Amino acid sequence: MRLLTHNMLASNVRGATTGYPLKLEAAKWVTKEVDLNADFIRGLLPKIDWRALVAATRALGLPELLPEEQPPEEEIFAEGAADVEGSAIRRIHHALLEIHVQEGSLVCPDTSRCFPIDKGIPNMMLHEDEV
Amino acid sequence: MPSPRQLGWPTRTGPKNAAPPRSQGRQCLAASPRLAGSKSSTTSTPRRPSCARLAPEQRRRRRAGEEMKLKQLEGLLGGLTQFPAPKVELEQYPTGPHIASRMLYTAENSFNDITGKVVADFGCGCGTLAVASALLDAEHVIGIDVDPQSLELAQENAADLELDIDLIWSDIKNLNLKGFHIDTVVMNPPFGTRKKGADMEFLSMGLKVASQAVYSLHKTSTRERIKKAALRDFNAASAEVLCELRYDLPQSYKFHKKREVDIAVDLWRFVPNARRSS
Repeated sequence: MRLLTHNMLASNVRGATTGYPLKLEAAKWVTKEVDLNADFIRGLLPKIDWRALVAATRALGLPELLPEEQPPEEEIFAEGAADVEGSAIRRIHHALLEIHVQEGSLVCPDTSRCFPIDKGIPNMMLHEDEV
Repeated sequence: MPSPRQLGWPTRTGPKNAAPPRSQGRQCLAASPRLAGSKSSTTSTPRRPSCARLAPEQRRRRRAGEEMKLKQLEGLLGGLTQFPAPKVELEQYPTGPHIASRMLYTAENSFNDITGKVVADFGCGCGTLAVASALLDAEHVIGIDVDPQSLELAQENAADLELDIDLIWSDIKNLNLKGFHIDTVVMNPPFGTRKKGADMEFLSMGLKVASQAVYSLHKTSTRERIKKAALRDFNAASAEVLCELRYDLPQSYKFHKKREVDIAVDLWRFVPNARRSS
C-alpha cells in the first residue's frame, strides 16, 4: 500500500463518524523508484489531504520529508523543479508513489478499530456486527 | 507508428449513438461499429513471449513513449494466472484476455481514461483489469477484492510483469473512500445472478468514487435496469453501451449444464455526476 492509497482510505466500521484519516502504524516499508510525472501530480494535488499525507510520512519516521503546510503551487511546479534533487515536487512524488508500506496497521480515528496491513495489503474487512 | 485503423481498432469517429447490433455466430465480440475489426484478433493467437522477457521490453517501450498495441496487451493478459478454484458465491468468472484488453484499450484510446490516471479495479479477482490498466501506464492502480486468495494471485500476476499495483482487501459495499482521488473505475462485477443486487452495489460504489468514468460489464438482459439505476438512482451524468460482447464462459461451475455457456454482455461507460470533477 502506497501513501496515495492511504490518502483516500477511510474506515467504515459502525460508530465511525468520518473514519478518516486512518492512523498509520507501520512496522515495515520499502521504497521503489518510479518516474516522476509532473502533470499527474498537478492534477492530483488539489485532491490530496495534505495533513493526512504529512501524518503518514511522520508515522513512517520521515519527519523531514514534507513540511507541515503545503508549499505554494508556484513553488512546487516551478520551471525545472522536477529535476532538482530534494525539491518539493520530488518529495511529494516520493511520498505518494514510492513508499510501499508492507506490514503495519491502520487505526480508525473514531473507534480505534485496527486494520492490519499484511504483505502490503490492508485488511479492511468488517465483521457482521461492525457494519 | 501504425494508426488505430491499421491496428484494426477504430477511433472515436464511428457513429456515436448507433445501437450495437446483436452478434451473430460464435465469436467473442459482436460486430458493433466501434469494434469492427476486432474479429481479426480472435482468429490468430500470437505466441506469447515469457513475462520475464517482456518486462524490460515494456520499460524500453515506456521510455521511448511507444504505445502498447492491442495484441501485445492481450498477449500479456493471456499469461496471467486465473482462479484455480472459482467461488460460486462470489461469481468469480475470470475476465478473459480478449475482453479485458478491448475494454481497457477502448477506455484509453477512445476516451483517455487510463494513461496517467488513478484507476481502481472493483472486484479485481486475479487482477486482469488492474494489470491491464498498469500496462497502459495508469499512474496509480488499486485493486479491491473480498477474496484474499484472489488478491494474492493479483499480487503475483502484477509482480510477474514488474508492475506496481496497490491492493485492498474489502467488500465493495463497505468501502469508504474519501476525496475523489480515483479518476476511473474499471470492473467486471458479479452479474447478480447468485447474489441479487451484487451488480448494483458495485455500480453504485463505482459512480460514487470515480471522478471521470466507470467501465463495467453487465448482462445484456439487464440493460434497461442498469441504465435506469445508473441515471436515476446513482446520479450518473451519462450511461452508454459501447458494445455488446459474447462472454465465453468455460464451464466454471457444476451447475453449468452445457459445456460452454455463452452470455451476451454489454460493455458500459458511465460518467459520474460532474460535481466531482475538480
